[in-house]
Order: sequence, then structure tokens, then C-alpha cells
Amino acid sequence: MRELIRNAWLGWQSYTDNGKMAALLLIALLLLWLGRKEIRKPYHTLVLYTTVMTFACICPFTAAVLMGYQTRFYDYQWIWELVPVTIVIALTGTLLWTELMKKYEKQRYAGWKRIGITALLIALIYLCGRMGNPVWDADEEVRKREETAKVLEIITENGKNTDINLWAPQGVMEYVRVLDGNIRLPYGRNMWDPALNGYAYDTYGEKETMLYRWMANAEETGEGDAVIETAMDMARELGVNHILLPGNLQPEVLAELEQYLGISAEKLEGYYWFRMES
Amino acid sequence: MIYLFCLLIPYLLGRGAMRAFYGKSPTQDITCADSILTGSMIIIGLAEAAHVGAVVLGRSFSDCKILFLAGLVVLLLVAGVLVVIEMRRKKQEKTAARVLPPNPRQKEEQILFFAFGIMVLIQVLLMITRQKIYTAGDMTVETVNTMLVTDTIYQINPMTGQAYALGMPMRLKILCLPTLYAILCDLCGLSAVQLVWTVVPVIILLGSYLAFHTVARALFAEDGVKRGFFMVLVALLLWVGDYMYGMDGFGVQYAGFRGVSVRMAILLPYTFGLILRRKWKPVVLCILAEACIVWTLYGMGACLFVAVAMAVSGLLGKKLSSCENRFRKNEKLQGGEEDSR
Repeated sequence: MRELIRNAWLGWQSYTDNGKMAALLLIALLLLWLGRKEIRKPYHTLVLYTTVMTFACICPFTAAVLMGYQTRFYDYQWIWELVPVTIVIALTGTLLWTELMKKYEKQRYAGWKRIGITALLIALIYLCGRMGNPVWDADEEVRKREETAKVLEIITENGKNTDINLWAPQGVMEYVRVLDGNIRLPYGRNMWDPALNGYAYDTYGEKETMLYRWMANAEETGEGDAVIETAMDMARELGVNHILLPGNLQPEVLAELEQYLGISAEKLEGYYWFRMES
Repeated sequence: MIYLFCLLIPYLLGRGAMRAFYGKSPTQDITCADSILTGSMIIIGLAEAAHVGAVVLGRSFSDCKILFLAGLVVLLLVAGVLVVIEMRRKKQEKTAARVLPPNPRQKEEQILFFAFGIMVLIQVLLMITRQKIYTAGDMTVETVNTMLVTDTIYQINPMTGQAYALGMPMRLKILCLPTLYAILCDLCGLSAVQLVWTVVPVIILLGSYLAFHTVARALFAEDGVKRGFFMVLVALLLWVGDYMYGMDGFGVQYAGFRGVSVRMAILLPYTFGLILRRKWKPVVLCILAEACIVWTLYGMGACLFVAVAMAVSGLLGKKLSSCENRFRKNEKLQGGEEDSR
């Protein structure tokens, strides 16, 4: 429970770090409660519910209870689903806009004033988010995916070869099963994305973990972290018949590999490609 | 084909369901959006039935697809009969239909809905062209690909393509969304990436606006201008609020295919829209649909929580206002007594 409360507290901090939607919600609730009662009255149930739930999500103790209710599979930010953030902000914005429109209806330059108010309201909301700039690097992912698609096209000979068990650097392995369900892998994305391990009871053995480490080291330093022969034998034992190695591999490591496998590597989109007989 | 699935079939199923829920009682505030959303939930329910049937009996994905299609045909026939009965009744009542007074603010309303439409159009275009997809912690496409290639359901590890040794937890095995996507891929001839990362997020985004529109109708039943501005603000909030995983905007724009996004973008707003209009029967469908697509606490998910908490808030609100009224009456009476003295 203590850990859950700690997560709730840290979650709230991270929830408010990147954008200001939570602040906008608090302002909206403040306006609704401080505004005229007859304006709030038709929406009383919604406003009351939102207020209680907002404070329940902010307070670490109640937030921990809500996190328990939504199962521990989900992170803190998901408890905010229970709060109709978008609905209440839009409701307050609409009520405020209507009131201001009425106020300036019969004044001089009413049209311009009304346009100005609308623009101001929209600008206020705009400044609370990041509009198309999420916190993760989406463009890099798109680039890597396209690059992997090109590589797979060549390896599968445009989809003709379906008996492929591929061992490759993380950047390629990440998208292989997304792009082609026929290709098998010795280990998948759940090796470096632990959240995915919640979907199955299966775990990886020593061989898969070693292969992953060897490839990660090869990408980083240009040479694997274990004896080449051992790594290659393990790959064979796991049924690997296509190996893609990073382009920065040391020439001596590459030569050693070619000698051990008895085949020459082909250059493929910046990688070294070994086609082995299965 | 895909739009037939996502518009016409849900509409027909939803209209039939609404007829079954509300019978001959007046259904003026049941809109096209209600029908489409309710119908979509029925399709999820049908997919769940076919999926669980196939998983429990250890049948192949092809069998599951056949079961789903057979169920869909039966449901469509039932819905068709109900809709025909309703249409006949409406025809008879048409002569007595009231004529709506002209709306003096129609132009303003049209401008707002036009602005909203433009915003939605830009969002859809950006989603299709940019292909920004948040994949961390998700393996939907891999799962759909595995189902299509191996003709199995949850027997092969989607991460590696190798058979599972220990398998999946039952609580996840019952979730039907990947199976539904795989069936749609198979029927429409689309690849998993095309359907899950392009077509479905667009449908979820549009479905989300339908759900928010039901909220707008509930909040501003008589005022189209307010509804229009509300929808403009909703579109803007979903657009700018895309900065972080877990935000409404992020879910619909970068992860629209996930169960949690469907819940956040459609099921929850629709639940609010229904509760605010005091339509409790379809709320049950929202609760069940959520249990079919998202891992919940033994079926007790966010929709059930919202429904119960909103009901309690409603009762509490009534109690508070009656207490307040009584207090004011007493104050007035006391004031009157003091004046008369």
C-alpha cells in the first residue's frame, strides 16, 4: 500500500509536469463553483461528481485506492479516466463564452469584441497543451519502421520466403512481427519493453537473454560480449536461420564470424546479413 | 466494406436495440449517434461471444470468424424486423408530427459546426499521413498478424511467433479486441498495420466525437449554438491534450486502437451522455463492452464506477438542494416572524 501511495504522489507530479490540463480543470471547477448558482444548477450532478473525483485523484491516499480498483496493471494517469476532464473544461468554456457573448451583445464594436473573446478562450486552451508534440519521439519510430520494412522486403524476397527465423539488432526486431507475421524471432519486443511481459506467463531462458546481450553489445561496441562461437551455437539451437548484424561490427569480428559460419556476409541497408541453412 | 461495418451495421443494430430497450415509449432524444454507438457495443459483445467460444473450445480463428458472422446475420435480421416495426409506427405518427419553429441562430450554429468539421478533418488527415503510433506496452498488431498467419487464437506468442509454453493469463485471454480486428482484416483484405494503425484510430476518433456529441445534447438540449461551441472546444482539447500517455487526446490520436483508448474516448463519454439524459439501460452495454476489451477488476471497470458514482452524486445533489431549500424557507419564515413582531 505504501508503494501504491508513493506511486500516486509521483504520478500526480508527472501528470502535471508536461501539460497544464489538470490546472485548466481546476480553474474550470473553480469558475463553476464560484459562478452564479443558476448557471451551475442544470449541471449540478456532473460538477459535484467531477469535483469529488478530482480531489480523490489528487490526494495520494484516495488515489492509491482508485489505483487498486483499476488493477495494478495500469499506471497512475489512468485513474484520471474517471474524471470527465474534457467534458467539464468544454462545459465551463461554453458557459463562460455564452455569458461573455451576452455581455458584449449590445456594446460598441460588439462583433470584434466577441471574436476577440473567442480567440482568447481558444488561445488559453491552446497554451495548456503541446498540440502535436507528444513527449515521445514519434518521428524517430516512423523512420525506424520504414527502414525495417525495406530490410524485410529484401530478406523475405518480397514475401516469397516465409520460413525465416531472424536474429537482428533491437531497432529491427522491434518492428519485424508488426510488419510480417510469418517471420519468427528468438526473442521479441518484450525483452526490452517489460510492460509486455504482463500479457503472458512465458519468460525467456538463458539462451535468449544471452543472444540479446550479445547483440546489444555488438551494436554498442562493434563486438559481442561473449565468445562468438557460443553465441552462434545458441542462435542455431534456437532455430535462427537469418542473422542481421550491425554495420559498425569490427572487421576482425566479422571475419571470425564468416569463418565460423562458413558463409560470407552480404551488405544490406547498413547491416551485415548472414543467410544460414536451417 | 470497413465503413459498412463501422457505420451502417452498428446503426441498424443500435436502432434495433434502442427499440428493444425503450419499446413504444417516446424516443425523441435518441439520436443517430446513440444508435451507432450502441450498435458498436453490440458488435463488441458478439465478437466477445465468438472469441470466448473459440478459446474455450480450442477452435481455430477461422471457426471464430464463421461464428461471429453467423451471429451477426442473426442479429441483423432481428434488428431489421424491429426497425421495420418502428418505421411503420413512425409513418402512422408522421401526420401528428410537430413543426419546429425557425431557429434565429441557425447561421451561428452552422459556422460553429463547420469549424468543428474542419478541425476533425485536419485531425483525420494528420493521423493518416503522419502515422505516429505509440506502441510501448502494446502488441495488438503483432497479435492480429499472428492470428491471421497461424489461424489460431492466443496459442502462439505474438512477440516471437513461437508456440506459448505456459500461455496467457485467463483475464487477458477473454479480451476480444484483437480477434475483432483480425476478423475485420480478413473480411476487408487489409493488412494488420493498415487496419489497426490507420483505419481503426480514425473510426475511434469519429466515434469519440459521436460520444461527446451525446454529452453535448445532454448538456445543451435546446441550444444548438452552445452545442456547436462545446464540440469545437472538445476537438481543441483532444488536439492540444495529446502530450502524454493517459491523456484523452493522446489516446485517440496515437493509440486509438487500444482497449483503454476505446474506453476513454468512447465508452466513458457515452456513459456520461447516457447518464445525464437518464438513460440507464444502454449504460449496461457500456459496462459489458468495457469488460470485453479492457482488463478490469473482475468486470468492475471505469464505466460501472462512473455509473454508480454519478447516481450517488445525483442523489446527494438532490438531498443537498432540498436541505438548502428547507434552510432558506426556515430563514424566510423566521425573517417574516421577526418582521411581524
